[in-house]
Amino acid sequence: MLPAINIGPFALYTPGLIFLLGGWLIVQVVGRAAGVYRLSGDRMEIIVALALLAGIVGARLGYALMSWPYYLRDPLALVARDLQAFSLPAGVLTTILVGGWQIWRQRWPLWVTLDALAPGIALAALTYALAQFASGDGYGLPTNLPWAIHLWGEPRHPTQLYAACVALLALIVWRQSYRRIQTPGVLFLTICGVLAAGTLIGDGFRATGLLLPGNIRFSQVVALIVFIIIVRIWPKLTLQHNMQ
Amino acid sequence: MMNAQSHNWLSTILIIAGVAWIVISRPPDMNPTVPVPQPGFVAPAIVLPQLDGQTLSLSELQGQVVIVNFWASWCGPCRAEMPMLEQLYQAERRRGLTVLAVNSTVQDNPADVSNMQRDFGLSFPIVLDYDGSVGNRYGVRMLPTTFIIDRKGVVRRVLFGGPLSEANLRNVIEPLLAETE
Repeated sequence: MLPAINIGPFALYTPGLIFLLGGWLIVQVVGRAAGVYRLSGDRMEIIVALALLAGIVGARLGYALMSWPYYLRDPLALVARDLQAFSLPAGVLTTILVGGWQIWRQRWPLWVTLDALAPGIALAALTYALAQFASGDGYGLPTNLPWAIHLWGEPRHPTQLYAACVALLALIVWRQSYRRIQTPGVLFLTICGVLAAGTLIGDGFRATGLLLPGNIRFSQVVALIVFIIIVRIWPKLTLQHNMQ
Repeated sequence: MMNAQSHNWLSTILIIAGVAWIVISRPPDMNPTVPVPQPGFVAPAIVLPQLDGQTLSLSELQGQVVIVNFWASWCGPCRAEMPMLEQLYQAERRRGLTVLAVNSTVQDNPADVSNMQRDFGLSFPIVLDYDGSVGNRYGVRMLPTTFIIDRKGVVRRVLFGGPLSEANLRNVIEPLLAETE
């Protein structure tokens, strides 16, 4: 766990640094991937950068909305240096909405565009996993396995590293496949399928996260639903492409 | 290429396997008993002297919502948020809020701490971590770092850096103040 990196007199918040670096990498990689699929790489870079910036603003506004009376009394708090005053779900939603709207305006083919965005999704998952590892959040259940890490008083499953490995696997799959000629959308579905399957399995070892009644993990339910949808869509997509 | 029937069987098997894993891997009910500076765990002990030499411990404050703020007099963001902490303390102490300001005296000095208390008119308890042991126990790597502890002595939020805004702090403490012990 490394919540802060000390460089001389300065202490830098590590998860924040990881998010910044991850965001920059996502813009670079998705821009290059767009070029492979004959989309404008420069335009894609701008769209993704704008979407990520909008996500930061959306995350702050989403957080403020949850407690709007206090922010109404103190509007300057919206721009305060509160490093944790961000809502991740609001940020992700804003990123998707702003990015989706910008992409729709380009009139690019949907599945080809999603294939170009696929490495960005895997990188985003990797960034999140590493940020959680740095902050110590998302920690695992206690275990005596040889690869357990000592965190929060006992040896635990390194669930943040499990998630990072799944994201890396998704990236490797993308890297091996992206130049192959295949049905548009298949690569995007493959990456999402790997991430969903990894979340379904890996989150089974987490000690944190939203629980539904009966101690059912919400993240695993969502991952299973996404995985099944992908399995159902896949043959229909391939068949549709073959018929064309 | 799979036919439709095989595909349906595959989907069914995957759903059953997925649901089975979700049920098997349900986490047990966990009660926070280990003292660790992380949300959901009991807050590690703090037993430190104040400026007047009297010892104050975190356990004496059980029953209140405690903002444990690690700071130093030379730290700019720490100084910037102290007036807000004082204001919040005065406004909510009757509802059971207290601020426990832990000075990182291992990298500060009591004279500067005393001057700052006087200059800022700070009325909440200030304790001195002379050897840095409490800071280490709380895993403090940057100043300020703020831990919000509920009435049962459980850490509910950790806030790195500053200066914190009152709106953000209120967002965290208001639900805790509304909780009964």
